[in-house]
Amino acid sequence: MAILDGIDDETLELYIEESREHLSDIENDLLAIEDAGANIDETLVNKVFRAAHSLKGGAGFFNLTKIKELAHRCENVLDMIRSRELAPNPEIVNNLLLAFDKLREMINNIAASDQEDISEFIVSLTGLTDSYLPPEEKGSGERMVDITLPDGRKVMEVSELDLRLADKEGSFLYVINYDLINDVQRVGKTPLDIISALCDVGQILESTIDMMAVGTLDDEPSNRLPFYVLFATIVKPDMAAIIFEVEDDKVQLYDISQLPPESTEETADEAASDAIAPQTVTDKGAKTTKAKAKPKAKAKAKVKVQPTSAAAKAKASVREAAAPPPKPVTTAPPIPKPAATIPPTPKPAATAPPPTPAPEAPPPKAASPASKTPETPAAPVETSLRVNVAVLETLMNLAGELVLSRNQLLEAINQNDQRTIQVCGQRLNMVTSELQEAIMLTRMQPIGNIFSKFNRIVRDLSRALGKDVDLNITGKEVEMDKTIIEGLNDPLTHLVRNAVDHGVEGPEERSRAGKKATGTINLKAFHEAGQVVIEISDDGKGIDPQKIANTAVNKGLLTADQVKAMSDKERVALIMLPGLSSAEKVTDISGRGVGMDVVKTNLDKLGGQVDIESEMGKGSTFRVKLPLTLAIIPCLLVSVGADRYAVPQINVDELIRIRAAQVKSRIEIVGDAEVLILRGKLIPIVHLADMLGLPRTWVDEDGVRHPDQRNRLADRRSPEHPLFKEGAEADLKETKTTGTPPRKGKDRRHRSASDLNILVVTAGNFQYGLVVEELHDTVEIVVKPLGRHLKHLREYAGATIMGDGSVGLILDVAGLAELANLSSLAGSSRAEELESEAAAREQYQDVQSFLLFRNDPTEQCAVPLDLVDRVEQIAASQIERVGGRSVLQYRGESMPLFTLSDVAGVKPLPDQEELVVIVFQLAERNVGLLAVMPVDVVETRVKIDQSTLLQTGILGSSIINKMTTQIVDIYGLVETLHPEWFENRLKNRPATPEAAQTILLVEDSDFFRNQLKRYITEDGHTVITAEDGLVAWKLLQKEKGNIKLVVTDIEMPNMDGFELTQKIKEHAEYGHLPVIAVTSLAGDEDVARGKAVGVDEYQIKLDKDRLLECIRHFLNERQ
Amino acid sequence: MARPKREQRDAKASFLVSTFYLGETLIGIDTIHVQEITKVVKITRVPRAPDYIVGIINLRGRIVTVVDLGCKLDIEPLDIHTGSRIMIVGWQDEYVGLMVDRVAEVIPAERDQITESPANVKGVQGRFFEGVYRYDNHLIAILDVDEVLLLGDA
Repeated sequence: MAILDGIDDETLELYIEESREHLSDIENDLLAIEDAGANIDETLVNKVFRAAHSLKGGAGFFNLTKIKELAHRCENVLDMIRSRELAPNPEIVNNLLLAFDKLREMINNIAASDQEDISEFIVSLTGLTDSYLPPEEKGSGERMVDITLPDGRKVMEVSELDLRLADKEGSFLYVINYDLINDVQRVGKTPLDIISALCDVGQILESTIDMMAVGTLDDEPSNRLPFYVLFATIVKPDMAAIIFEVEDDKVQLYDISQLPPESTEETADEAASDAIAPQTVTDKGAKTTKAKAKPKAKAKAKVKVQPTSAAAKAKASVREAAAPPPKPVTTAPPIPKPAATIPPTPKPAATAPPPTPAPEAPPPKAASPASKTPETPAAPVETSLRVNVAVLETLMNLAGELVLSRNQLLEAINQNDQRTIQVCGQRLNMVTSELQEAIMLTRMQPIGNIFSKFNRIVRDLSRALGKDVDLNITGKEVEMDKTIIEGLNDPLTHLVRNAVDHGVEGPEERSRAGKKATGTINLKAFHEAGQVVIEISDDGKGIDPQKIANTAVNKGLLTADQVKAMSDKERVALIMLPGLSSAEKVTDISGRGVGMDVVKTNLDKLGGQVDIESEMGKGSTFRVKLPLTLAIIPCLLVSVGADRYAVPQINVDELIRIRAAQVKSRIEIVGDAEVLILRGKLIPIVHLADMLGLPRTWVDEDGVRHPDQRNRLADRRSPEHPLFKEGAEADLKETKTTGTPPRKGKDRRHRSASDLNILVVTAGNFQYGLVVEELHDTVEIVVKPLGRHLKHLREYAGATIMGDGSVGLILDVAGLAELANLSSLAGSSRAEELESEAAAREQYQDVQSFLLFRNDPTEQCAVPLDLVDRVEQIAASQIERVGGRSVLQYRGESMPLFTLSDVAGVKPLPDQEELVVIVFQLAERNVGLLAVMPVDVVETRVKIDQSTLLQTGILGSSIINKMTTQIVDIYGLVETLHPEWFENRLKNRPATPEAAQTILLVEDSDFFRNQLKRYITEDGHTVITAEDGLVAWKLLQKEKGNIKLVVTDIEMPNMDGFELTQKIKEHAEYGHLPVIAVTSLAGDEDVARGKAVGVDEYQIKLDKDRLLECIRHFLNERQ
Repeated sequence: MARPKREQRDAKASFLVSTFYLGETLIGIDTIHVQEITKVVKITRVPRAPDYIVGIINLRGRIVTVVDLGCKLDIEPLDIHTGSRIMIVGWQDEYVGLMVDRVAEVIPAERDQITESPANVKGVQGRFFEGVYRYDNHLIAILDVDEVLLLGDA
């Protein structure tokens, strides 16, 4: 790279930085230009144009020929767009984008930029300009014109096209000779100042540093370093020198008329271009006439420039360049000067007062670096950062304050003035906090810095995939820490690409699905609860949970059983599993071996959490929650032994303290793992001491810490309990702990120091318990990186300086989980296993299938799936109102329709067109319950609350899929509305109480027991209930012959339904009793097993009609 | 803190060597690497770190890893006592503390008088040293900081 010694690295860096800044905006501007099409937004084009221009100007200055060349070609194309000679179309914009990409690449690797091959870009760009040029001008892009100095030296070479373009715009062309030493350096400017100042008033066609003028070593030492700029501007010659801030004789006017003339038809062309280019200010008439007059000459000509000082004397008439240059020093054949044909008088425009400034002339303030808002180009890692001057001022002030406070403090300490020391301490405290805030401000960057590039990504990608995708970006202004923004780049890119590639369907598929052909991707950033949330949502096909689950099973990542127990949401979340890719075919866009797991890992590193919501056919939303900053984070301090560690608060879900006496009941051992039972959930636990290879310790009544040893703990804790197995028998010196005062006289096991402290933490989407010995405060800490020797330790996220000046380590919750083999996969599946095991062992809650639906978009309801006959989607208009009742034509009959609000105090059905009818068969007819989408089926172990939401038509409530769900009593509902439908059944009722039969009902779930008891009692029977098989068996013996029939559940603690049935059937006395098994899920296997032990009939628990019928049937048979 | 390559150094140049003891072993280090020498402040141990890492300290707001030079050089792990010092050396854009038993004087040395270190210097592997320098009847092994702090061989 030919950089002069005189130009220091700093200047070059400035140029690079500025260029990046220009380039970072260009992409979106170009895309906007493309969108606008023929409807050209001049300000926008001008902006891009200026950017290309500054690039070129600087490149010329640094002798970066390739950059200059390429920037220049871009500029030509843009200029033609600006003058409406070229309507931007996707092809043109594409070429420009590619060229600017190349430029960015070259700027990023500026040293090698001259070795880059840019010919293909040049060809395509020149092709663009040429193809739109009038035929005569074709090739003018290639024709080069030498620019010579009055002394005949050639200083630069420009393309003829440029000169002509500049001329067409009515600009004057000047060759300005700056002396980098005297005009620039000595007056305290930088070359870039000059260039940007020039760019504000016109355009630099070419610039060069005259190396020859410096001379060789043998010459007289020269203190001049000439820098020539060929400059096109509308500034008039008499003003030029003042504007350019150089002496008169350094500015020379270049005479375009010396150029070989163009075709005579140019007039027409120009007239035409005038018509569409109203922004051109100077009178064209003069020039065209002049041009017309020019005879043809050879393509390449040497032209001479004349001093403006001379020209200036000619005042306004200069523009006509009527006077032939004095004796052109040229090797080319003399150019004929048909002076006679040139109109001798000044043209109107020239005589008139200076024209109003051209649109591009006034320097828009944004172009000057100082006023720019801080921004970062995305691609390369930033080494410098722009900071708002006001923030810097604040910092400066605060630093001053800090020094003042320190001085005061030192003084006060010297004099031992306690009061002042205190005051100073407070002051320091305040200043420091403010300083911290101010510093943080300098690190904050708008997220738009990375958002903006997605326009291009989506555009290119959707084009490559033949899709039509709109990207909507909101929340560009949301600010986040620089490091987070940088770290977000890759994961977000991946998510956006995924949305285009996998989310949004092709146009045909979309049309088939009845969607708009154009897909929409929304990229949104906003603040929520002290965090920043970024949402990437598409309206595409959504993620198929079943497909993901199948893939996971096929790839051996999970077992079929594990998948079966998962909710759809959990299944969708499986795409984050390493090794799982949802793409059916590997495209070159997604098939890069980078999966969603990498996205998750990257986001985990930033303290981010991902949440996926997806609905088949409707689209998916990826929600990423991120902290505002990583540099200062709130942490909880914990300790193991004498060491303190910090746990980022964002990872901590809750703190659990288990009293020493309760340890046994709260901590379970499943397999070889310890789990914490927390609100019915099993959470694997890990001891921090074990993880760190430290001995577990305990504190005795004197507050002395001892290594945890079995012989002492055995007294109060179960010895075989693995939780309290002997810790590593390290001979930790007994260290005094601070806080805990001795508590003599109390029962040892009830002292707080013996309690178990568990932090329930979340790593990614996985929860575990971390056992620590002591809990301390929550503090805001400054995260500092660990040295290279410790970086590899996954246990730590970094270190921090504690209040006492010592160093504390920050734990990496995700890293610990991995080290403990609790990775999200292993952990979640194992926890799942444990949970079902435990649930099976102690809860005996039946798995019940429910159909979930909404009565109102906010109100989730459920009915036992077994009762549902069909679910139909209908339009509200299909409902007929007949005789004050709603009916629907269904399978050739009029099916009565109900809504939940007919009887229950729930919200009325929303007034919407798309409805769902859930069809039930009861009282020997079809009835339909109206509901709204979404409808889903879940299989869940329900705990039904029978009191809170109980009302007519509602059996109770339960939490399903994290929503309070009302369990609908369809019988109650219909019966309330149409008691007459059930009269038939009532007739069958035993007429007198004496005839009533006693039925033994065995059911462990309160809910079902009460429910069934009510049904059976209503039907006129006497019911004796039992909670499990054992109780039932005893009751049976006690009641002897009273009991005529047994209705039993299958899954129950102590003695299950099978065993009970078997006992009954094998017993001589009760063998004749009919046994009806009720179940929520009649699997074939169960049925077979039931029949084998003698179950007479299987019924579904909440299918009231059939169950009662069945009971009647058996009782009648008996009689 | 990039150290010039050995071969690029002017052979004639003289330089200063900070000397210190590890047990009874006298070792030197080119003063150019040494940022400062501090007393042993509170060291936070880092569980699961390699054996030769004593822990981390707070050096005016920077987190500095402290290496037990005795352990690293396979002499013997150091006991921390009042004479113990931590030499803060610049290494690959960060500071690393080298814990030593006792700091001795700083002596001038001539580059050309440093002899290639033998395979074994006072029971320590020769690869840890740049060379050996004879001074005042003492044989001082000059520590090769890059080699000592090389990662990946804990």
